Amino acid sequence: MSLLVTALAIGSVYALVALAYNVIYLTTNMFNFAQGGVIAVASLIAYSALSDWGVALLPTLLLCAVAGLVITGVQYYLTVLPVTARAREGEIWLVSTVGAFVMIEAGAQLIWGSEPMGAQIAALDKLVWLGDGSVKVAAFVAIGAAVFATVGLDLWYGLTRLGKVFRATAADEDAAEVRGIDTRRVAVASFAIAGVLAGIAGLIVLPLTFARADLGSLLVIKAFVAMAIGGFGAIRGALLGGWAIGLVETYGAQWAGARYESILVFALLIVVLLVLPRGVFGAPEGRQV
Amino acid sequence: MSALRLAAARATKAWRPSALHRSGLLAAFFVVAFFGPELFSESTVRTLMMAMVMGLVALGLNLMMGYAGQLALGHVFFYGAAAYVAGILAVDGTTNLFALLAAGIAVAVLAALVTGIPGLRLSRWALVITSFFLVELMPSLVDLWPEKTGGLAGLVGIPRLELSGPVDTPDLYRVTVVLLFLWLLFQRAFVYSAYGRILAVLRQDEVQLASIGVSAYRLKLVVYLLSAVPAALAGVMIATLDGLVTYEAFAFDTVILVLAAVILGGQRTLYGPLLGALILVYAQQETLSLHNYTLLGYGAFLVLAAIVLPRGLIGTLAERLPSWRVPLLTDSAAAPAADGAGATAAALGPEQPAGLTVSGASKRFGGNQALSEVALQARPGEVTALIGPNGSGKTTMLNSVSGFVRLDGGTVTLGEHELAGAASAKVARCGVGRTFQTPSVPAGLTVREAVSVAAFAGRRAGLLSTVLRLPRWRAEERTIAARAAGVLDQLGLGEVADEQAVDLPLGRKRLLEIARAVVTRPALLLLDEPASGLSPDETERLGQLLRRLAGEGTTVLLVEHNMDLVLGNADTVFVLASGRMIASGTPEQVAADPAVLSVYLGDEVTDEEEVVPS
Repeated sequence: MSLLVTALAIGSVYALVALAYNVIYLTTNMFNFAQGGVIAVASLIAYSALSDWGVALLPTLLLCAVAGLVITGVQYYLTVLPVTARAREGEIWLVSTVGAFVMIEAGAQLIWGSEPMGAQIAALDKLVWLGDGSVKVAAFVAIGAAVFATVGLDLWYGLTRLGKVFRATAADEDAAEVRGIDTRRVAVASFAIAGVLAGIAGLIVLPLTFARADLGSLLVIKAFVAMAIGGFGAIRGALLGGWAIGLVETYGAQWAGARYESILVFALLIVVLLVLPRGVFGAPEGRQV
Repeated sequence: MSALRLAAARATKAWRPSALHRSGLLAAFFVVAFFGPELFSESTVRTLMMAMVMGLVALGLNLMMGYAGQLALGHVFFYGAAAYVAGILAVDGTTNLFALLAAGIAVAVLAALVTGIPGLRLSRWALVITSFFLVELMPSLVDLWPEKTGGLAGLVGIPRLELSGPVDTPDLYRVTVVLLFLWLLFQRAFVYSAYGRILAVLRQDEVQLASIGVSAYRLKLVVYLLSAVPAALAGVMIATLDGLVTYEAFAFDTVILVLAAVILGGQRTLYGPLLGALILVYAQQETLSLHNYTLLGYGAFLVLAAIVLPRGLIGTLAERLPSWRVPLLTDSAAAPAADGAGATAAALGPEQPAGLTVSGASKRFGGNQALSEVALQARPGEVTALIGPNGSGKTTMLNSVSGFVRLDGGTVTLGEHELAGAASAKVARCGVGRTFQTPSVPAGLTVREAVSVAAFAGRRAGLLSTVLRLPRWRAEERTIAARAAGVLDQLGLGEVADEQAVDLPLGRKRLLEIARAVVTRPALLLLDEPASGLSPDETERLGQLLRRLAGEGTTVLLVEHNMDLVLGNADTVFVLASGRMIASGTPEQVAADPAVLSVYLGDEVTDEEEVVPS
């Protein structure tokens, strides 16, 4: 039982990161690589706020959300907009968002150093006994946050008028533009939502993984795999994919040894892509003919 | 823009490098590089060695990312895997250069297969993820066999290469120069050939690619496997340079370095990645002590390059010198056509005419029955028109014949071939040519080259005869060039044959698509609203062309709103309404059919209808 909760908690962390990527992918068909760096910086800010500055937990949450929003916003206006405004094709934005990611990560390393740092957070570090082992409260918080974010975003995209506008933009940007949707504003809003999500994710991962400058590099590949398994742009898919990775990692490590952890996740990715090339909830990409 | 470019082309026409000039320049670089140990200091030679190694990896990435237009991040893994395999084999006593190269290439190609087969199937992002994961997997894989790989501490004590005796550092450098130039020669021959032309289509439009009989999946997989080769060469050389291999050399930092090298030098340029690697490796050696600032600098550089110099140094230069562009298809006037090619160039009809029979075709999209039990026959030697109001299912019909839409039920046969259920590329190879409502022409190709791409699926010269420029390849290129020139003349595009295809106005782009569809002499030609966007003159010429194609035995199936074109040229007309065939017959019969009149003039007439009765 405690192992299952641990697995789902790790999976929920991947799901939260994947959600941040998915929210942007859904409306712009872009992977904002830098999102992983934003989570790392948010977790470092959370560490500093809680350990060094003596800020309480709830204000720290707010601080992280704002930090995520601001960093993603600045990153959007400096590294995404100038590129996409000039040429949409050629995916040159990939280069600039990878560049932004590298900059954010290197900058974080200059400020906070490269050592992993764990913060003491009494409320989240408390252990819960589950019969066969104990788990941090933080694990339940991570699971709850991932489920809440998934259900919330899913309902919002599916039911609200604004959510439908976002999805229409995703389906066909030109058609959406013709119908009076300001696709630029939809993109800005998507980056903003993803930024807040990444900021909050930064605090949630802190008691589970430590804060570290290269956290983004560690999380980004798992988040991508979660997206591939669940289907690119599929909100529910991110949670499903994240949990699948968490389960394979945790149980696989116990069954075959920790050194096989990543290799088993890779095998999972390859098998899913062979059987379901679009992922579990994936939609066909764009117009065909 | 087009006029400007033309003016620029004329202004620089004074001098344009010939094939001899280009090869001479490459040979001069080779000589300078080869005698590096005699010409430069030891540290410069080392920098050059590293630049060549990184350059080889970047050349592989560029082949996939630049030329095939598909991002992959796994080349650093191929490089690392080959280094480890070469290192392990050398420690075990195999030090022969060729054996190590073969083993390195084998393992790199295997890794490319493992990531490419699942990664290239449907989503263009899957390969980014599978290949990126490979790089992250390197430490785990190394840690699996620590007794062989040296584990996380690294593999040490790798002996020197042997090539009729142990190789010293200057010799190792020279071997690298030779390998690099051999690969450059291969890549140059590859991208300036039918492969380069077809890759331009792949980058632009995979639907178009399928319509000329080429599977995007297979083409991308082939290029991906090829692109693993230079990375493997680099890995074998680096393993024996220092006698040491550590997994840290193949981490994300190196991925960024290689990506930056390609972007800086210029994607889709032959030498750009090498130049980029040289600059970045040099900069890295100069700033080694400032690791964190180096990364910050790389990041800032990538962002800036993407914004300011998206085409890279050489790419930007090439843009300024359009006359320096290497032609991807030899002009047929410059190279006289092979015997007999002149005669076949004039023929447009198929060698083996075949009729199209559709019966019981049904297709439902969600709640919309697009086609129900549709039957249609189109005979060789006739122009058959399919008309009907918007949304009546005409394009669905064309798409299901050409394999882009899979029918729920019914049969589609062309001569002896059953087409229903076949993939679109397969259908095209059975002798079906088609055009699309919205013409799409590949960027970077001249009109002549853009027409010739259709011949790719039927080419007989394989990869080997292409890169070695064997007589078989030359003969085939001449035939293709002659046919393309012949068809372009037929369609009145001869005078613009050497202009950039994307610069053509809409009407001429449409003619270009038709030229591309007929250049392979298909048995069945499907045209989706070919006259929209054409001037009356052009429409009339199109009608004559359709008559001529039919006269030579082609089965022409035309979906069209322009009634002048339909009534003036069709032998048989089929009328679709709401997915049902409501009438068929000669143009006169159909024009007088009350059911047809009620569809066009009755309450089902829609605002967008563009029917022009004659």
